Amino acid sequence: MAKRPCPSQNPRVDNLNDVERLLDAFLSLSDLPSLSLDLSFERLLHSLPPDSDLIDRALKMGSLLLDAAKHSSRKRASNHNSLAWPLPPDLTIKVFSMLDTQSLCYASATCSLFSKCAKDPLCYANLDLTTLVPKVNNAVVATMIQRAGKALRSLKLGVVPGATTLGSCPPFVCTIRHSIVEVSNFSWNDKRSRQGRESSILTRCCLSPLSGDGGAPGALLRKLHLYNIERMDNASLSVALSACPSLLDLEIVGL
Amino acid sequence: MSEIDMAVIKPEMMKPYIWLETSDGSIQQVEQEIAMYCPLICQEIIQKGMGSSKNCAICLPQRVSPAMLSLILDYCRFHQVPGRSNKERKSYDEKFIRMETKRLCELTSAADSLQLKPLVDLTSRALARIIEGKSPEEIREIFHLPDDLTEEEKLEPLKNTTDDPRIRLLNRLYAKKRKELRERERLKNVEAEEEHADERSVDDLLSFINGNGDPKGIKASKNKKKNRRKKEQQQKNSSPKEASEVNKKEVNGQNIRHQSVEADGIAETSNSHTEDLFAQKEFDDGDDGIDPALKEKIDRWGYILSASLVMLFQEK
Repeated sequence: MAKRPCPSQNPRVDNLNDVERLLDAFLSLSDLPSLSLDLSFERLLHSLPPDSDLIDRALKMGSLLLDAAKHSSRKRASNHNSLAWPLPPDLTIKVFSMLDTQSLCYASATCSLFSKCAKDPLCYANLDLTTLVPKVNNAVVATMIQRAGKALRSLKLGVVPGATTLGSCPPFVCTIRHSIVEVSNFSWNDKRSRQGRESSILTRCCLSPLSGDGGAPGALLRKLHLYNIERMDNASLSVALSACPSLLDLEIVGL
Repeated sequence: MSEIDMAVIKPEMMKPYIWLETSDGSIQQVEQEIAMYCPLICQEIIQKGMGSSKNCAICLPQRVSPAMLSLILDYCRFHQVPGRSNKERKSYDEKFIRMETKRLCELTSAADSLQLKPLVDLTSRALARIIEGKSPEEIREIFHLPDDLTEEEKLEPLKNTTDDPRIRLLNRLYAKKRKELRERERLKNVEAEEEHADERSVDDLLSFINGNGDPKGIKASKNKKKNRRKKEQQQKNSSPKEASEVNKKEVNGQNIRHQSVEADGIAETSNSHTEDLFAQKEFDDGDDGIDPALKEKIDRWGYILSASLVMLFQEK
């Protein structure tokens, strides 16, 4: 975009309405080398009567502008990604299907392109939701199983103290700077429970999604490993097992 | 030494060549038996009889650049020899895929377009190994993909998003209602009592919307919204408090209308008020910037709205 000496000389500006022209003029201030917006704002504030709502208006407009810019920035990033990423969706899904569940979640938090591909059922064929301390709850299990649908082949669930593969992964970095968590609301290695009042305990209903959706998820399940799910009882376990006619490998620890 | 030189030096060993044209228009000669290792090229030669001369060179898919083609041909040249042991092949593969990540992606794409499945599997697995165990920020850096998710989307990658047009309509109306409420709330204060009166009906509606009979699931998602705002601050202070409340909810699982939710609601909102100022600064929920107490009201409006629309659609 070429720098303009004076906005009114630019024929492009004629197509815009008044608000847009003002916005254009305001934003072209960013080219000024001697710009100090805070000083100008203070001077303006002092020139007005003390009861003026200039500050509130500035806060409001500032936040509106920021939101608009962020939205457009995200759109621009999406466009860039769709052009820059060399793999077609089916190949991306193929790569993701080779990832373990934790890495899959991290990948889906990367960008919207990955996020879309990561929702494909093929990626959820082998679910490993074991953790070192209780963190995964029923809702998470349900979501994952639902996403897997007919593609679900193996499910590992529960608390496995010590010997899990997750120990080899780098600790999840919690960025407090914006109070926003980078990854899902359950973090795999973080010591503090991020779920607040939400239970991070698996209850006996945790396997009920296997029977859901006409039994589709459980129908082709081959492998089921349950570790130390304290709340599991025989009744719900038998319901779950009856939903899995193709089960070949069953392991239950700590019932 | 190029193929042509070889043919000149040892004419008795001249092998049939075929002509391939890559995405940039350049045409090159390749030994037929090597090129035949790629199913696509094989198909073109056998079924369409292409590639025998420069004029009818086989046009390779657009994803195959000259650099990629040479890599693929190296791979084919090694593997098409039948007398190699598995160990040899494996160690060749390991060395072969050691390259820059971008090239690896392009190679996967090119191999896929030529339908060379073993190479596709090999490169996909290599890419998966690169992605494994990395945080989102690291993954973004490796593949040079700028972040285009909202903070909300990042927080809930496990949420089931649907492309259902009804849901999209609901979301749009929800957003509109949110804006209206925002304006209205700026004029008057939020009263704590108001929030409780509605608590019960919201739970009912939630069960309607979520469509599952699991009240724990409902409370979990509802409280998730409420508590997301507080979690950063109150974690250290109130984890014992939260634990007891969690237990309370587990016990009262089946009963939607019960006192403890209200009691919690009172506690929550009074907390949220005192910490509003504190919260304003830190809980910049990306796009929202709505203060927490207000957000609860908005959420409720959204649920009521959604529920009524769901009912409307279901009647049809």
